[in-house]
Amino acid sequence: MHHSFTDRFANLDSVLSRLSARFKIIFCLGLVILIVLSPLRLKFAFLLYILLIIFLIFLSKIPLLFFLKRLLAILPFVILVAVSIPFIQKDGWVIFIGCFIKAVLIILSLILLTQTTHFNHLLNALNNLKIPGLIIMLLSFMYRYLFVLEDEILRKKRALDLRSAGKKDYRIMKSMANMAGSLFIHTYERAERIYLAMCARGYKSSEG
Amino acid sequence: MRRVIQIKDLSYSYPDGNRALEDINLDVLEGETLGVIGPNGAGKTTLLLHLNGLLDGVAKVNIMGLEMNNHNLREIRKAVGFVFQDPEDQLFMPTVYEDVSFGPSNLGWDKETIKRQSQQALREVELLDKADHLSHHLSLGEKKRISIATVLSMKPEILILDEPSANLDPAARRHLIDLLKRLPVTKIVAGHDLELILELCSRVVVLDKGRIVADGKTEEILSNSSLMELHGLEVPLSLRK
Repeated sequence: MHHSFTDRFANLDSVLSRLSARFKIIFCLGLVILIVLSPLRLKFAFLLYILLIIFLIFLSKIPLLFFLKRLLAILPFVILVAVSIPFIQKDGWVIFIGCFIKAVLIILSLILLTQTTHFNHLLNALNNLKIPGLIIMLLSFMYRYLFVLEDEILRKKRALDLRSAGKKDYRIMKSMANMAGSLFIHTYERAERIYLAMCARGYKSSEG
Repeated sequence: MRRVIQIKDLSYSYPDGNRALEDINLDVLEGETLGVIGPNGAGKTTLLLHLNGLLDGVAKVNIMGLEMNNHNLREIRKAVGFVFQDPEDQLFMPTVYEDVSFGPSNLGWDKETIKRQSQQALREVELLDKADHLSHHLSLGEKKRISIATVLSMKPEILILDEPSANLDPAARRHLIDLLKRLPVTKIVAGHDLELILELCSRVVVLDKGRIVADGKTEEILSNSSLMELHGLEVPLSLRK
């Protein structure tokens, strides 16, 4: 099956996708640090960040709707973490909104980075930037097996749908929970097999 | 002829106490293609895993004249290429080339050699043009051939294949068989595809409940219907009279 979620738009030919991955990582990291460190009262700076990111989104040629969908998926976590601020601090609401804006800007810049760069180019660039090999290996496994896992979920879901005959009640929820459990066990077993396959080709964990 | 694999009195129990292999004695000669057949759960994969030091049961295992121990492990893993049944387990790197060069780079070869061997391996399986592709975008037949390339790049002298034709369509299976026939190394092939075993292997061992119950010429064993049926197998169609 063909699917790619982390770098779905990396094949789009845009100014951003043509830039080197290494440059983009450094730029993105710089921007994130700048946004985090900017005090909220510098309204002008934030206006600049917003304009910059809108400009980059425009350059990337990626549909706006996609950014919104991704934002919606991540923002609940931000809100969950930040929701207590208004209750424990004076001017809490201002800080909350500030956090929220910063989070949105940072998430957008990370989406821009990951969506305009092929994942393996990203990994190569991280390697060039002297990120430890073990971390890069973990990331590359994540990327490689996301697809395998999604196929597995799809197959299980199909089998479940087939036998649940359109019913949607608590028993289906229970089956879904069982499904998640068996998926976990399969994943664990696969990890063991992959480790064997690595060892078979001379891998030693101490070298990682 | 040189004996490249010598197994003496190999027994192995799984951590939960289940006996998986019992008193296995097996010699494999250089250049031979050996088939390992038997019902599900007979211990075929468990036996194969011992040949690469991935499991260590109570035994004397000797590969290419090297005794199986921690000291020789690296040499043995270089000499024995293991192709797992599921290419999704074998191909764990994002791109094809990274996977094929994974083994060589663990051997500490220099960059030039790694590149040369990896390209040579991809050429041998006729997939050099896929080097920069992502593994998950390949067809199963291609994944299988790349899996073989990932061990060929280490220049093994023995090739171990667990169920090589599982889930392949007939054309991909034919391609695989032709590829395996071309490779000049010693091969051990385990599986249920008896026609494939018949075509590739000169000798076959039957494994049941962890024991070797028969060892001999492929045609003689595969056409012995009472032996085959006793051990959960059957005489392949092409040998039935």
